[in-house]
Amino acid sequence: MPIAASDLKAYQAANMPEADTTTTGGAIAATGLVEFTDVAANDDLEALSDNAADTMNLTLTGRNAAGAIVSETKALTGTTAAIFSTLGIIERFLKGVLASAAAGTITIRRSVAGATVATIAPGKTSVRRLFYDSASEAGSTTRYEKAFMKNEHATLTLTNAALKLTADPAATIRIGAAPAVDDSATVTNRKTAPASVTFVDDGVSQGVPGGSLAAGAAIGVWAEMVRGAGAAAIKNTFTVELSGTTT
Amino acid sequence: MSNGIKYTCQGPRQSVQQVREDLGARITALQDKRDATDKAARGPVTAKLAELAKEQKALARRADDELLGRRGCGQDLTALIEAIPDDGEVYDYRCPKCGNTGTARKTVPSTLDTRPS
Repeated sequence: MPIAASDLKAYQAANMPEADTTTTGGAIAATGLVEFTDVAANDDLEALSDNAADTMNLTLTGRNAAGAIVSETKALTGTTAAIFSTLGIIERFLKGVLASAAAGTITIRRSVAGATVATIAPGKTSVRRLFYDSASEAGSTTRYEKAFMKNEHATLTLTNAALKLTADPAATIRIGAAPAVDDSATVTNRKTAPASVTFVDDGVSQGVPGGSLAAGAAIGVWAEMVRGAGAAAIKNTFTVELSGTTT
Repeated sequence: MSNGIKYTCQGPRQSVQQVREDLGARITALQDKRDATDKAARGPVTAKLAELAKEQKALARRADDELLGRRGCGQDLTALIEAIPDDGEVYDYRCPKCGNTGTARKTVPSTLDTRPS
């Protein structure tokens, strides 16, 4: 079977900061996901599994309409949706963290039975947004965070592999491929630029170093977010695409 | 120093207005083709026109200046991007083929010597 789009997955790095003071980046964290669709309107959340045996705790964190970061830990109830009523109405999703890997796929969605915000596949334990709790400051501020794009096909190499920023509605992101495949570079904190990375905007596709991504290999993707001095708050997401050719 | 990464231009952003104009021109050309074709042989062109009309209808409610991805180009920008100094400054680039403009920034290389001793 050739490589399918579903074989190309995005993952967290080992160090995903929630403040400007902690180590950022590192190796791939293959149990952490970064794909989600934010709530289109303020809403509360619920979660359920497609496996009745999943009753572990799930902690959901979001930002409420008043601007406060709120979270709630609740035991899942298998295939019956558990409503996170203490979390309350949120205006943006920040992260979802399972206490242990689930047997089934966990769906986090708007309540009741609304649009899906994120799914956590069996064996994975978290999903989160990048640039968690980052704000503009008196001067222009640049932050960097790292994620990974992985070729999960069992045997095939993704040839002509390239990364592209396909959506950046707030025009605030540039991305740069790590200088090597499967790297583990970190920076002291998310305000420190990673070494030897070239950041480009959505007008340029950048090849993976060496041109291909072997089965099981991942390429680090640094995202650079620039906010001008005193810039107004934004609630946004960006999209990175890994593409290539396959036999 | 080369980082072994190939950079390729994605072309300029395209607005709904541009897509609408391109679509309009294609529809007009196809209508001319259909009218010049024998009635019995018009099937494929008529079907394509219906498809394009559907696309046109989908665009009708969108604002003219809304952006719809990029037009595509394919120009190799590797030499141009690699020529940017690795000083952490933001540089503007312009594609020599399509004129697309954008920004790029190269961070300072690591000062650690990673060569084997």
